[in-house]
Amino acid sequence: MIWEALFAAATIALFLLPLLPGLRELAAPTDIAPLRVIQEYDTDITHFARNFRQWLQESFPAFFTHQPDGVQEGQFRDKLRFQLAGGSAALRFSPAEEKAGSTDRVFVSAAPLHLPRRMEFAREVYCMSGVAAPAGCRFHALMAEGDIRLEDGCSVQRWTHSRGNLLAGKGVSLQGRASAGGIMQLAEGCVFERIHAPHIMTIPALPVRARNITVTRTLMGMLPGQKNSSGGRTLVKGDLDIAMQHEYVGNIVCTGGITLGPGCAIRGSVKGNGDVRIGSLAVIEGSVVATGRVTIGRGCHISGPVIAEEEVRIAAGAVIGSPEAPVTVSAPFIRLAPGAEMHGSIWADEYGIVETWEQV
Amino acid sequence: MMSLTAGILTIVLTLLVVYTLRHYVFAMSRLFGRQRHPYISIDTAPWPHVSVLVAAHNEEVVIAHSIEALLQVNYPADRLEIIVVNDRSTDRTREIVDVYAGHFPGRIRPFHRSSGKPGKAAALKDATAFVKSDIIIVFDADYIPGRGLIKQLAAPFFDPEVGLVMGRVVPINPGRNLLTRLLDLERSGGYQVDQQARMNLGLVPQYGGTVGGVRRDALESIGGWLDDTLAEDTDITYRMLLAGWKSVYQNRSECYEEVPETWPARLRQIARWAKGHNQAFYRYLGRCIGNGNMRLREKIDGLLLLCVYMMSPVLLLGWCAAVALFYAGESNLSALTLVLLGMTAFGTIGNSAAFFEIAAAVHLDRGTRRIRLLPFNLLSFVVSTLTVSAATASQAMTLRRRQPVWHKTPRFRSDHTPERAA
Repeated sequence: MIWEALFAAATIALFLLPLLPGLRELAAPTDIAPLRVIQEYDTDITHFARNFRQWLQESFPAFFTHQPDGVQEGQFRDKLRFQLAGGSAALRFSPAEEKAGSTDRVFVSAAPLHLPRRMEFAREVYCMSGVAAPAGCRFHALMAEGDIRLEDGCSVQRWTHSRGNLLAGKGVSLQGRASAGGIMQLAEGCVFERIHAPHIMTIPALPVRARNITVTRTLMGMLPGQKNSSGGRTLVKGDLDIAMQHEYVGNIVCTGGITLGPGCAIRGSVKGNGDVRIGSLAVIEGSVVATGRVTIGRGCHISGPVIAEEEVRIAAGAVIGSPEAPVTVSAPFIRLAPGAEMHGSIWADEYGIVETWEQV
Repeated sequence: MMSLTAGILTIVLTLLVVYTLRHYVFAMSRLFGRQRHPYISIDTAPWPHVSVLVAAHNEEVVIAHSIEALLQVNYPADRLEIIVVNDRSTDRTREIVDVYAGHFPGRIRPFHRSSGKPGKAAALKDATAFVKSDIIIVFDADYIPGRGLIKQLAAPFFDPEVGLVMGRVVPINPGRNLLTRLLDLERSGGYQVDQQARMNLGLVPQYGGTVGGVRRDALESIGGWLDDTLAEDTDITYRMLLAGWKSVYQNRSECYEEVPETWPARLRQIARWAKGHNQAFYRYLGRCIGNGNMRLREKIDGLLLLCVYMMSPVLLLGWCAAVALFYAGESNLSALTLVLLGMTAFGTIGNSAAFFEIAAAVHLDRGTRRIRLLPFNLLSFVVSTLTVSAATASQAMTLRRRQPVWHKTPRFRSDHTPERAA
């Protein structure tokens, strides 16, 4: 009998053993808070910039109100050092900073900033006017109420925001977020992740006459491979190939890839389960979505968002969105040819670059 | 007789193995596979007109919070209307809604329903008749959406293939008692792993009826909401799928919800889900098999999803068969041995599959000590299995006799301040 009792006790103990940590957690809860849902999250690209400005205004209210002439230096309680340059005063760097070519101070300037070459700013830089960064400067974060001009080879690590224009030279690296209230101009070799501006252009731009070309089109009734049309969209089975200079009115969903010949017009959105290739001078009055790659040819005009799950390539002369209706271009990889124009946001999850690419 | 029992057990084991594999595939996809969030980056767009329907039946406790949160969203105000669907409430819901509508005319439109079929599906159907927007987003009255949530839920509809979108619900009251903590773990597993894995793999993310949206044109093309279903979410998922529309899941589109805090409320909730889901099973199983719009992987996942609540009685049947075999004795040792070996293998690895999903979800959520409660999910699992089996059995016996009865999930939040609007 005693052995049976022992066996039962051992079995019960074995069953209870995995419950012990849980019983302890129930008795003295330590991890009961709801998972954090950021209720205030609003996808605004200027979130960091706005918060930084607000923090500066709260930390230095007198400076922001009066901008007293001269340079003030100090440090916060957490030993973070700062320098405020008011009036027409220029930033001052210590001999050690000049020698090392780097500084870990927060800089705030009222006057326009002309920075030394190849300087690394490990903390935020804020200017109430414009910023001109010569070649090779590296920023942790940069914000200006005026224009920001980044010469060749500059880089920004976390975010940058200009209330005016942001002009980036060759090979500039814009990691994190980059936004402008006016024009954002990116030269060849620029790399980026998430950028936003009412007007984004990659340079060199195309001559105007290369853009304004009139196309005559033939209106299509049915699409090849069309399966059904309901709910405001036409479902096409397999790949879809529309010959050049044809026009279709409606939204297209294709179970395969889509190829639109040069000069085509779709008065709606297109979705391809595969690659979507849009020939030159085509017009899409809606969004372009692909599970593969989206290739947008020269001189195309796309009115809606462009979303690809692999890559987006935009050729010279293409225009995405408009000043009145900015949109988003989103893909893991985004290649913009010089001479392209976008209005709104471009979000490359992995890598975005301005470079010439061959349209096959 | 024993051969029949062994045969039943073999079939049950096979089905369970299939679901086991499904759980592990989902967990592995979530842990190691490519994560798909194609629409989450859309922050700038010509946003479509959206109508947010808030389903409310005796929601005086919570409705004010929901309305106030919706008034704070960053969606363009001229393209957003909030329609509170007051479905035959007998408490102060109507009064509260009218106060807000009075203070925010043009933004909040009350839809007071005093007759018609009971239930959320019927209420949505009646309210949708007055909607002219392109997109309809549905919330239950106890949900508190964040500022950017409407944009996030509207974004996938720029894809003309998308008919439905679903966000993630996160329990706001996990710390109340053991039940809420277990449900918090289950929700994590269900959304963070299950739904996102289905999105990753191009399968069938299920529209959950709240924190979700539907394209109005697509809804009309499939015949609108059906008012004779207990699970309008499952029903619409399958009708959209059959018509070639896609449902998408956005894991980062999160919203707090309240989970049941008492076991009776939980049992009623899961019984309703089971009956509603099984309704869809009876209606759409055959149509899924023969459908030409669905890809093969969608068909397989769609069928497995349809049958998921049927697995509870199947599992019970398997347990009974195993016990019967064990005690009845079997002269054919080799057949029994094979079956028992299979059972043992399943018992060690297979049974863990659903719990592995939950563990993976807690890991992805960066949870810490809450995972210690995972063994207690076995209790919840057994309770759910019995409840779903009972619901399935009662439903099967009354299949053609009467209309489904809607049991509202009680609310447990204690503060309600309709005076806030004033």
